[in-house]
Amino acid sequence: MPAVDPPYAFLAELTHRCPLACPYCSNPLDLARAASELGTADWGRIMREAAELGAMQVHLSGGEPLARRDLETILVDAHRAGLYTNLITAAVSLSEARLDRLAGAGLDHVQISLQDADAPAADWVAGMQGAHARKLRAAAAVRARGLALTLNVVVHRHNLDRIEEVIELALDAGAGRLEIAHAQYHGWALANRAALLPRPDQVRRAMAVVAAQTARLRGRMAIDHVLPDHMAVRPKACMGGWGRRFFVVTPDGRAMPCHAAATIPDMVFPSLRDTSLREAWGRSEAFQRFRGTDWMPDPCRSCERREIDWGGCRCQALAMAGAAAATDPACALSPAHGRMAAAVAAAGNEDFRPRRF
Amino acid sequence: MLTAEARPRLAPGVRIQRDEARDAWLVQAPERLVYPDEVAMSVLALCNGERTVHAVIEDAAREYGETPDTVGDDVRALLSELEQYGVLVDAGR
Ligand code: SF4
Ligand code: SF4
Repeated sequence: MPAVDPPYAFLAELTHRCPLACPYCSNPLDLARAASELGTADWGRIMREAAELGAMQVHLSGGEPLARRDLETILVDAHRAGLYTNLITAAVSLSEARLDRLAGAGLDHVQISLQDADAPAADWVAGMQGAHARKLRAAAAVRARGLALTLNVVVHRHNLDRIEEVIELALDAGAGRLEIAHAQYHGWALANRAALLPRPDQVRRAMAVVAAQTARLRGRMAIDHVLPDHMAVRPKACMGGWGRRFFVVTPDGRAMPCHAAATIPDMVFPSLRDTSLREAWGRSEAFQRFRGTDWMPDPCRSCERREIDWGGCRCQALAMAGAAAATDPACALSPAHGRMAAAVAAAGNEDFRPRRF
Repeated sequence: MLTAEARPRLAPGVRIQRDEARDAWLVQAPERLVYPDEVAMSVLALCNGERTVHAVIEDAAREYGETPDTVGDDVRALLSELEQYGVLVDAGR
């Protein structure tokens, strides 16, 4: 077996608990209960093992990572291990006192999710009255401490037309970066796809707005935005390729190549309760299965882009083409590509199902 | 854009550290890893928020025994790229 390059970054899903109920949440439909969560010492060990393996950044996420009372301790362990720490939070429960403790523990960067630029619409999607106002207060507190701030907005049919307002809001909030992310249709978002998928004309208009604003704001605020898979001709290199740069640790301690990988039914993910990260990353069947190019079917196998996009997303291949080992249907060369456009055509303004335990 | 009078410094949330596993210098930025080469490292070291772009070019030229005219375009291109990555901001703004 050829030596496996070490990962660069990982997502630590500290908990699935969250006070909000976003219908596009990337957590699985079957949410892990608090009782099954890893303990403080386990997370500390994972931080050290990750840094030793070669990871440089950790994204502390969830659910809502603030729901863990030991977040400060986990953060100290990550910081001491030399990891760059990024807190990905909904921020409705982020008090000034907690923020001071987190900053003191070595936090490098905060990413706050917003649901919309319009407060009532944002609160409707989040499933909580007053959530939007609380997030903006938290964002101001982050900036007041000189911490770097990214705002993240998941865009969909119901908020995409307010993209200018979103950009203005992020600028006013003092964000150094704005991430405009199309919902990724796994988990809750897949269950709510018909209510969330934007119309092609909405996407095209938003792309033009973002391109113009990105140029205008250069040097003041960076905007990250990519064309959604449903309108793409070529797929994205999901996570930079399976088991190449990135991994996820679930609240109950399973290591996975991407946050949706658990949707692939016959996969057994190594548990970091009893497997070292080095072993999980380098040798486990789950990380090996779609690593590199040997597993690829045609048209990927003979395609010149096979080491650029690595055949795209395995979970989307499963969801849309019926097999995890198929070419990502976001690729126009995939026999199932037509289903992406069909999903767009079938979407309408129906109600979504908020995420719940 | 960083003008000649801009005073570049590391953006909030950016830090430079050693990547032991890959035996390289690494610029850690929000959601971004940038591996600078030797020239980029020496230019970054000059970006302290006090030197203007103009002064960074002069000092870089001196360091490499060149004139500002010969290195100017390269340094400006590098600074602009680092600004675009969110690594540098203008301290005067
Ligand atoms: S997407 Fe919404 S519901 Fe899911 S963890 Fe984030 S804030 Fe909570
Ligand atoms: S055929 Fe496969 S490798 Fe080629 S562009 Fe499409 S997804 Fe990528």
